[in-house]
Amino acid sequence: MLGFELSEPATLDEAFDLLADGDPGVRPMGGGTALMLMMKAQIFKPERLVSLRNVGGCFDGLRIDADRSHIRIGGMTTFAEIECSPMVLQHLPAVVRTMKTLANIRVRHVASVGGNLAHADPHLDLPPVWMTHAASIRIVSKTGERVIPVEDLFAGYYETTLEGGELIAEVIVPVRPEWTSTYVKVTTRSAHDWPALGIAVSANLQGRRVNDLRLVLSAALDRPTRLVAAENELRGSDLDEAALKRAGEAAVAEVDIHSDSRGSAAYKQHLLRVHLSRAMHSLVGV
Amino acid sequence: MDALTVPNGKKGIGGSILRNEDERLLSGRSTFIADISQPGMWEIAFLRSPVAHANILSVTKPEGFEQRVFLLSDLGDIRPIQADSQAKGFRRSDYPALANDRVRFVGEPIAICLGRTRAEAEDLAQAVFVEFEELPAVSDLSQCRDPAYPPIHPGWNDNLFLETHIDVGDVDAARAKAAVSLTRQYRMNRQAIVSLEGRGVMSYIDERTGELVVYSSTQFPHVIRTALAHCLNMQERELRVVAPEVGGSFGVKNNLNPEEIAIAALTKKIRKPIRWVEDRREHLIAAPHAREHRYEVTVHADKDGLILGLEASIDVDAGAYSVWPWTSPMESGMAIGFLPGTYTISNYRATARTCASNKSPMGPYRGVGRPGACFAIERTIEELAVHLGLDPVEVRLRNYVRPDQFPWKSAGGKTYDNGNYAESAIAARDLIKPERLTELRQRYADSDYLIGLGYATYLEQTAHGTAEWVQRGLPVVFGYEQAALQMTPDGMLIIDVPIQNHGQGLETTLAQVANEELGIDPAQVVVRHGDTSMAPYGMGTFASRSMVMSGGAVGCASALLADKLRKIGAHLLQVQDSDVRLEDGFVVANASGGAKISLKEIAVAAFLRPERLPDDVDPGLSVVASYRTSRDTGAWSYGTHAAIVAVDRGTGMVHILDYVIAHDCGTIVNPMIVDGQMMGGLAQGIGTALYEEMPYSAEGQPLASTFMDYLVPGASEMPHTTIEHLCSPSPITRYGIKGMGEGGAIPPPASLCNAVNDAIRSLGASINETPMTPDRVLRALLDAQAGSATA
Repeated sequence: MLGFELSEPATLDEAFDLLADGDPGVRPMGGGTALMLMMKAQIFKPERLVSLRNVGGCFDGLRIDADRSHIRIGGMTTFAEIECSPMVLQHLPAVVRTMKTLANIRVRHVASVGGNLAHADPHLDLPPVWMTHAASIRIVSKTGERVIPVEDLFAGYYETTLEGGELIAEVIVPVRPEWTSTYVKVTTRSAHDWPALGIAVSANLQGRRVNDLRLVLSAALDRPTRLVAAENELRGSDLDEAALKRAGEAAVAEVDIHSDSRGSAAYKQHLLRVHLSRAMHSLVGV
Repeated sequence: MDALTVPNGKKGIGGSILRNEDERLLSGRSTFIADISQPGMWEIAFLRSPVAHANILSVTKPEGFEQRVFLLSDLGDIRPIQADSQAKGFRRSDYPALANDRVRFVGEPIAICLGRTRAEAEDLAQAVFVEFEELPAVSDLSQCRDPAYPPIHPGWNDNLFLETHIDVGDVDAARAKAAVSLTRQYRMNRQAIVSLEGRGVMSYIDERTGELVVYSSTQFPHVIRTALAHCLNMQERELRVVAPEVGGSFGVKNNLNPEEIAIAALTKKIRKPIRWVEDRREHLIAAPHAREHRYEVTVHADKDGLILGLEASIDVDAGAYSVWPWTSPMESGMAIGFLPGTYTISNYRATARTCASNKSPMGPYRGVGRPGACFAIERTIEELAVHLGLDPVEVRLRNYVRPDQFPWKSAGGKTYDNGNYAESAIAARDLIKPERLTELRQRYADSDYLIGLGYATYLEQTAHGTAEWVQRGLPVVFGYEQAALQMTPDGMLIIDVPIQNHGQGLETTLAQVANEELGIDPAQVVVRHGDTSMAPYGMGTFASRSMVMSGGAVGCASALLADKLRKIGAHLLQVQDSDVRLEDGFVVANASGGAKISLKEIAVAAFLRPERLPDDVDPGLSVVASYRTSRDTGAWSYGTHAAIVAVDRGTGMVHILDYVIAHDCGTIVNPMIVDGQMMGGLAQGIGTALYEEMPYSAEGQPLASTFMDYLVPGASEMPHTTIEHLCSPSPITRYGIKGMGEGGAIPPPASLCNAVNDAIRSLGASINETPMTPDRVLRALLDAQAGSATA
C-alpha cells in the first residue's frame, strides 16, 4: 500500500484549497467508511484525503427552518445523529426506520450523510429514501453554491454530477405532514446481505386513493431511479390489486435490471412487482 | 434454544460445567498466529495465480528486490505434496509447494514475497511479472471426460481421479420385484469452509535447540511435523510444530498446506523469522473447498415403502489436486459408503466418480461427504413416501436397522455399532408436533406463505480407527491417541495431549474424564495441546474423534495414575491398598469414619519426600498411556432433525419457523458443550442448505471472494431450536462415548429441503439443489406454474 496524505482543514476555505481541481488522487472524505474499504481492497489509491470533520458550520448538525417547512441536515452529520434525533423521528419516521437495518452501529456512528451521497454506490439505502422524500442537496464550492434535487446528483455507477472541488453541504428535506413513506431493503438471502433491491415509496393518500406519490428503485440499477411510469399508473387512482399489478408491470418495463450474485434479472423483476405492491399496501396499513 | 442446559452440579462425566478455556477466549486475551511474533520477523504475501489454468512461461522479479521474492526453484530440494490413495486405478496429482511450470487453479501460490509489513509484501507481489500461456479451464463436472479439455495433470488421458463401484446383493432382482421404482437427481453445490480465523504460519529457527519451529493454525501438529519432515528432507527431531490458539477450523485446517511447506523451506534457507496470516480473500478462493456433489438415485420399493434395492451414480468435483492426507476420492468414497444410511438396504449398486477441475482442491469440512449422502437418501425416502401416499416417518420406521440387528454391516461396507434409529425419529416427531401443520396452514391461508414440514435422519461415524482408514486407502492410518499425565508436587494435574482444541471445549471435557477416575476437581487440571515438544505423538482433532480417542487415553492414563495414588495413599494411611478409594481430591480409607489424605500430601511424598513412599513404589507421578477403541470401525452417533418452514411464494424466501433435533451420541461428557456443538453444526448445515455457495465462471474464476458475495448465516438466521439427548452408550469405546462434532451439520440440507418441498408441492413444484436460494425456489415455483399452464 502506498502512502498518502491526510489533511483535516479547520475551515471550508482551507478545504477548497487542499482539493486540487481535477486530480483524481485527491478526494474529500466524510466518515471514510466506504473509502477505507476501497483503499484496503486497493481499488482506490489516494494521494491526499481531505477530511471535512473539522470544517463545521452548516456541514454539522440538524435544523428545522423557522417556518417548519424544511429540515436541513449537514453533510457531515452521522447516521447515528439522524437515527437518534427526535425531530427526524417526528417528521421523517421512515428515515429512522431505515437506519435500523443500515450497516451496523459502528458504521452508523462514523458514516456521514454527505459522504454517503457522494459515494454514489447504487446499493446504498439512504439515497432512495431521500429521493422519495423529494429532498434536495446544497452543493458548495470555492466559486459559489447550487441546490439540486437528490436524483440529479447521480450520473451512474459510483458516478455523480459533482464537479471537482464541489462539496455536499446540506441535505434539505421538505416536511410533508400529509405524506407517509417507507423503505424496503430487499435482501434475497440472509439479513446482513446487501440489498438486491431497495424500494422507497412515499405517498399522499386519502383512504385508498393516491393523491400523489414518489417511487424509487435502487440497488438493481446503476443509480437510484424514480419509477415515473409506475407512479403515473397509481397517481389519482385507488390502491387496488389491478392498479398495483399495472404499476408493477410499468416499473419492470421502464428500467433495465441486470443479473448479479444477488439474483438473476428475471428474479429481481419479479421481486420488484411483489415488493412494490407490498410496500404500497404497507402505507395504507393493509 | 429451548431448555438451555444449565450447570447441574456434577463435575465428572455427565456434568454440565462451565468451560475452563472460556475466560481467556471470551476476554480476547488468547494468542492466535496474528498475535505471535519473533524479533526481526518478516511478513509474507503470496503471489497467487489470477488464472485458472496456464503454463507459466516466465516470472520476473522486481528490480532491486530479487532477494525478497522466492520461487519454487529458490526453496532448495523439497518434495511436492503426494496424497496418493491406495485405491486401484487412482491417478496421482503432485501438488507443489509453489507452482513451477503450470498453475491449476485461481489462488494457487506462485511466489513468496517478503516485506516489513504485510502491505509492503503485497505491493511487492503486485510488482512481480508472470507470463502465462492460458489453457482451457475445467470448470464444470460435465467437462470431466470431455476431450475438448486437456488433462490437468501429466500422464492423464482425461480429468478423472478415480471411479469406484459397489455392487452388493441382487439389485436386478429387487428392481423386478419392486412395486415402485423412483429416480431423482440432486445437487449440492460447492462451498468455501469459513473459519473466523483464516490459516496462518509463523516460523523461525530456534538457535539453542537447532529446531526449525513452525507455528501453524492447524488441527494436527504432530502429523504436520511428520509430513514436513518428509517434504523438507529433515529428521522429525529437527522440527517442532506448534498450533497456538486456533480460531475455528471445521476441517479446513486439517490438511498439509503448500503454504506450510513453502514457509518452512524458506525459513530453513534464509534463517529469518517469517509469518503469513491469510486474509479473507485468500481464504475464500485458495483454501480447500467442500461439497460439490451430484447424484442420480433410484430406489426400488414395495407398495408399503419397504426398500428392496438402491442404485446411485455419484459425481464429485474434487478440484485441482489431491489433498494430504485425505486424498481426493474422500468425498465420493464417503458419499457412496454412506448413501444407504440408517436403512436395511442389502441390494445396492453404485458408481462414484472423483473428477478433477481447475478449482481449489476439495478438503474435509464438518460432515465430510455425509451431508451430500444424507441429502440424497433422505430426499429419496421422502419422495418415496409422497409417491406412495404414506407418512414419511412411517416409511422410515419400516426401513431402519433395528436395535437387535447390531452390529450392522451396511451395504456401503461400514459396520454400525449400535443405536435405536426409530426412537430418534419418534422423538423428533413428538417434538415438532406435525398436527400443528393444519392450524399453521389455516393461519397463513390468506398470505403468501406456504408451510411445510421435513425430516431427516443422519448417521455420523466417529472415532473410526485402523480398519476404516486402511479401507479408505489413506497414506496415514489414524488408529489411536496418547495422553501424558503428570501431577505437580502441589497436587495439581497437567495433561499433555496431541489432539487440538479449537472450540470443542476439550480442555474442560478431558479434565472431566480425569475427574471421573481421580476425583480431582476439573478446575485443578490443566490440559495442554498443540505442541509437538510437549505431548507424545498423536493424530490431532478431526472426524469427531477427540472425545472418544483422547478421552479414552486420558481415562487409561488416569486409571494408571489412580492406582499409584491409592497405593501411596494407603501406605500413608497405614491401610491395605484395596481398602481405599479416590474422592474429591483425597485418598479415603473405606472403613467407617475413615481417615483421608489429600492428593497434595501424596504428591509431596512422591516428588519431594521419597522416604515416605512404600519400598515398591518409584518416585514421581507421571504416566503416558495409549488408547484405541475395542473395535476400530467407529462409534456411530445418529439422530433425526425436523423443520417447519414458511416459503414466501412471492419471493422464494425460506423462513425456518421451528427446528428440532433428537440425537444420540452415547454417553455425554458435558451436555452443555454437546448443545453448543449441535447449534454450531446446525448453523453450518443451514449455511449449506440456504446460503453458502462458491460459484465459478466458465473461465474458472471464483465468483465469491469477499463476504459481500459469500454468505454465511448470522445470528438472525438461526431458528428457534429444541434439542433432545438420547443415550445408547457405544459398546466399543471407553465410557460408551461417541463423537458428535459433525452431526449437527449433516442433516439440515435434507430436513430443510424436505420441508421446502412439502411446502411447495401443492403448487406442483420441487427443488433438489442446495443452497436453496430464493432465486432457485422462485424459479421452481414459476417453472411449475409455466408447466401447468402449458399442460
